[in-house]
Amino acid sequence: MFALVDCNNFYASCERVFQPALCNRPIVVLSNGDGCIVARSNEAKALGIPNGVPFFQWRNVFQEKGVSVFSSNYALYGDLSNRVMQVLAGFGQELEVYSVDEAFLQLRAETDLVQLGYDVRRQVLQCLGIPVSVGIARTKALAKIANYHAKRSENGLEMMSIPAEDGFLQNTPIGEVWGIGRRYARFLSAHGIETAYQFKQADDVWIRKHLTVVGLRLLRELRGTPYWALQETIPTKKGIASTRSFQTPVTELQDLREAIATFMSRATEKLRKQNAVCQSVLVFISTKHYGHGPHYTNSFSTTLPEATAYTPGLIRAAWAGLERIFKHGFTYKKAGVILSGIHPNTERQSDLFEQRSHHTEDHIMSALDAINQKYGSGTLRIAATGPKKAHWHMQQLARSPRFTTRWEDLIVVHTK
Amino acid sequence: MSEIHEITSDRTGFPNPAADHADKPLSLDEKLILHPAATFFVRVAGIEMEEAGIRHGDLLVIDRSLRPRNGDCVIAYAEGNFIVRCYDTRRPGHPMLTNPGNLRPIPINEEVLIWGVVIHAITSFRRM
Repeated sequence: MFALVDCNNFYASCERVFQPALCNRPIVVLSNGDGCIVARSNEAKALGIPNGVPFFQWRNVFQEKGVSVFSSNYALYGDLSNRVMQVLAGFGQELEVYSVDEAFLQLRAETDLVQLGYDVRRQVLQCLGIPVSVGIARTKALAKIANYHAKRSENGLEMMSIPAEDGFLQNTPIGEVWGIGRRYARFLSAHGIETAYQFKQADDVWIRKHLTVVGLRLLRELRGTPYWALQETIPTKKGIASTRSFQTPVTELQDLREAIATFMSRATEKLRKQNAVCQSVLVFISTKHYGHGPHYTNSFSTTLPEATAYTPGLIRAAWAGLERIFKHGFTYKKAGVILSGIHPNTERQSDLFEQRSHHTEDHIMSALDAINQKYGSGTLRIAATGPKKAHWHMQQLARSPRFTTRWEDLIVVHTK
Repeated sequence: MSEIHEITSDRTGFPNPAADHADKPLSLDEKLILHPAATFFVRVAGIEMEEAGIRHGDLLVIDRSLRPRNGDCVIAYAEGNFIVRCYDTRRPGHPMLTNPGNLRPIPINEEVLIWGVVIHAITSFRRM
């Protein structure tokens, strides 16, 4: 069985941890450079404020309705994300960090599922003040759907038993199914498939033809047979993963660094092919899960101050994460990187006064990709060192203090 | 000009006798933090908790994973502020947030959020 644990309105919840007065009040969080709305609390959603729209269009509404507006505080969100994952890792089940605010747990057969779901919710809430929803089901795709319903339930937990599956699927719009983006959702509903249940009933050959082999795998998952194991490459609108099991097990940090750099080159190439940039990088390493010898699995996710598709910068971020999780004395069998927070390159906001030019980086990357396309993949590679540290700058008018990563930003508690 | 060569165990062939007994240096993090994921730092402003051992300017180590017990110092959010107080459950059914001078005890109700338990107060005697 799989559990999907998803933080509710993660960025807004992070802000509330340190500003409890904002509980039950509308909050929006803006993208880099304060351009667009990237996160909303439930109260903000209820006011009809859409995601992804330019801030200035809604400024009057915010003032009128008393909406609290925050610039993104990536230091805070990244730190709290790592803490959430640490708490989840403490449950002793296999863990896959899926994005900055989501993780899968693979639950062992003897687990009391409902109890575990409650415990996860209670512990994350107590330790971090962040509410999460838990969806439990037979496969990862079904767990995603269980989570969709958990978010809408009173207690934030949905355990999808096998006989109950069809009922849940009938109440799940097709667009909420894992990996079905807006385009596919439109296509499917034009063909009479509007719910997850109708999708499940669809003809295999038809699905294979129109949604490729990925659609077929999804079909299989919705019918209850796991296809996607934990920590496997899953094509999604949310992330690009590049991971591999090593032929020869690896023990040294330097070897892992090279492997990670290689994975990152591959992932960023894919990213640029989509003409996209990513906001967050996750790196993971793992020994064998079973058998003799000590076992160790860990991951670290870094949220970048600015979305990018620039390979050297992303390798640096992944290496910094790797150094935090690497432990000597283990034989590593698998490693990988996952890029998430992916959006089209055009959305990227940049400070007008910024020194560093994105154009240079973009040109370097296009040249790299063009050469590799012409002369074969890997002809031109990024040297392991990478250039000097980039200067990140961005416009942030309303960022909250970095309560957990800067000494000068600590909360002040009064004795009166 | 002469060059200085460092003589290491590799060069001499002698094993380093300390290698088998290598200890990690002492770490305050390890000693003072039980649950890293749930541990936060905050800064104290005010003198009203001095008798309880918490001074103005102290750095407090807060563990949110712990449930408060009678006599603990806790961080709470009340009346629009973060405060540090003693958690007092001696009167059954009337939990209170108090301080040693017992100025204005605050009853714990739905308006009050207990944010975490203080596990250490660090007083610095020199400016860093």
